[in-house]
Amino acid sequence: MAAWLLRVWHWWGSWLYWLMWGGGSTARTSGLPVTIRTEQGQNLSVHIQLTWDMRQVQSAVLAQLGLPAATPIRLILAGRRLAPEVRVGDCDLGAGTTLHAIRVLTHCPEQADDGTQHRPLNQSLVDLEISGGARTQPASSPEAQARRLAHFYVYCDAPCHALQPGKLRVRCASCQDGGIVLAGEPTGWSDVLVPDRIQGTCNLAACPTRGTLSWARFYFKCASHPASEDTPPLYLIRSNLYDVPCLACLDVGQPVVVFECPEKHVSCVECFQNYCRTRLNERQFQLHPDHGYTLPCPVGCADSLVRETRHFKLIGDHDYERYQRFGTEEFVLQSGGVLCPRPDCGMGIIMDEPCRRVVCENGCGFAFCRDCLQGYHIGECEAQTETECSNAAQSLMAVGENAVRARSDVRLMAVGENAVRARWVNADPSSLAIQLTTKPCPKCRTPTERSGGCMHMVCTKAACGFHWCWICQTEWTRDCMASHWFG
Amino acid sequence: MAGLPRRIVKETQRLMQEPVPGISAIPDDSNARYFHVVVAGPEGSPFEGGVFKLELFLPEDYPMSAPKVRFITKIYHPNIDKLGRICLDILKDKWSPALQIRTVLLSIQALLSAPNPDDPLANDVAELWKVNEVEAIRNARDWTRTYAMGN
Repeated sequence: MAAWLLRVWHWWGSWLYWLMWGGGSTARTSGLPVTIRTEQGQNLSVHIQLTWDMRQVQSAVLAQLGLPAATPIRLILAGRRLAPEVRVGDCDLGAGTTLHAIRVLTHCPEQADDGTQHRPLNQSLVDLEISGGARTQPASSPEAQARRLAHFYVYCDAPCHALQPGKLRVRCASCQDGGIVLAGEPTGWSDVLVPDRIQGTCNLAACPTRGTLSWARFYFKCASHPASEDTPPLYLIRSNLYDVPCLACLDVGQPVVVFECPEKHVSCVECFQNYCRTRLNERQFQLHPDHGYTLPCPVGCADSLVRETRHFKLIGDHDYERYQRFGTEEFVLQSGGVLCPRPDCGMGIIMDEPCRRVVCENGCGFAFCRDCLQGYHIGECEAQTETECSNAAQSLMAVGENAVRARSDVRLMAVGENAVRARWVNADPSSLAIQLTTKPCPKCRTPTERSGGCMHMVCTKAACGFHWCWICQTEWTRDCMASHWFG
Repeated sequence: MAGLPRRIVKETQRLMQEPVPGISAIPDDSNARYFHVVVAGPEGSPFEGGVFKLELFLPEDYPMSAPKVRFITKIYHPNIDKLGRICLDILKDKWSPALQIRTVLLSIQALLSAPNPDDPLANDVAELWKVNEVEAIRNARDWTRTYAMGN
């Protein structure tokens, strides 16, 4: 038993070691179960060794296929025909990785034999941050060369729930299978992220484009566990090649977030998380028509919005859920909709026609007045001026932590002795408190508390930012400045 | 300094080792997030010769939120009110985590050199600064002599 455990530990230990080094050149004598897919679409399970080279893998494959050892075959991984001398440990192979075994056919057009075609993609791609003509000089030391290799990061939803190194893979756009050999070299993120930029030759018998050029589709997998699903790459996460200190904590992190502003400001992942959480708590994310609910570079650079909002998964499941809810609420409100005021509901409702009676149709079924957010009533909103009415309405529906807090308070009140507390629920102390202590932004009606300072208010709601006067409750003017700056 | 973010430690060390000319910022003995700041009135300004005390506090989510800064010494300035609160964009909506205590204090020093009466915080001061700059500057000198010298 002890020996068995030891062996298991050894196997896992060496695996972890191998994973930590991203499948580097370290030789280990562990068996690696991989899938070999033939051009006919047949799958074989083959155990290979990390110390083997491709010649040995080919022999094992041929033996399993029952073919003569001299049969010429090529092994394909991530769009590359692997040269016979390439070692298994130098490819980013994992348990369950699929390699394609293709018999070399005379009619198959051979690719330009410049050497790189035979090296695995993870060994020949330099970091995709370096695109076009901006490539750096070839690094001399092995360490420097290793650092320049492409690094990809993904957010693995399950089972990791974490930022993980990613593996770049490629498949044929026609048959969706991986038996494609790339004809071109991706030189930047756009080559990998934008479809139909790089072509290749598919070698699978069943592929309609076999032997001719077809488009290559790149995709990513989590490198930390076998048999992962396709995972979107977090392309702002980069290996910190130049040891750039974080703009916030000043430490040199690894990896880092590189924003897309012209200055390419760099933040460590932890500060990026703090930045996102702080801005989320302040409801300072912006709703962009193309990119979604997002943030700019923390320095505030122009044109620096994060375009792939899955980067915000880095803030953790709990905060990401809040992020999604806030984003949805923001979208509903900006589209002219309302949020159901019922405690524990909050359903977003976009009305088809401008009607004061709103029914929470797919939610709790509550029918309410669009203006005062009380239960629906005929006639004027009761015992409240229009301003107070909309104020009360906003206090429950508005974007802001207050609204959330108000809802949860009401829920707590409702638990327990219904008869006694029913009056409390009706009185709704939270929304009363909000009514008493806040004034609505004259533009977006977000209830606003003035905690001190002058009378010049700037709406903190990201999409608003209206400058208004606490006393006049209209736009801030020079007259306000002159007569009641401090009340 | 347990629990103090490395960034604050680093900034504090640098402030002590390479102080900004004309500015000193020293953390409080009992609270490393609270700084006792002294700014010398810039040459050529009506605050020249004055020594102005300020307090600076780094909130919990610093550097994601701006430091809180306030003048303790009374000062006659259109962008600083009678409670010492400062009207400076980088302390509010223009704050970025790339800014530092050092840059904030330099900006405050610059504000003393170049008052901005068009974006005032102390309204009566601002009004006078625009209507009668000579008198405003004289007031500023008087206040500097009365409150910011000789202690």
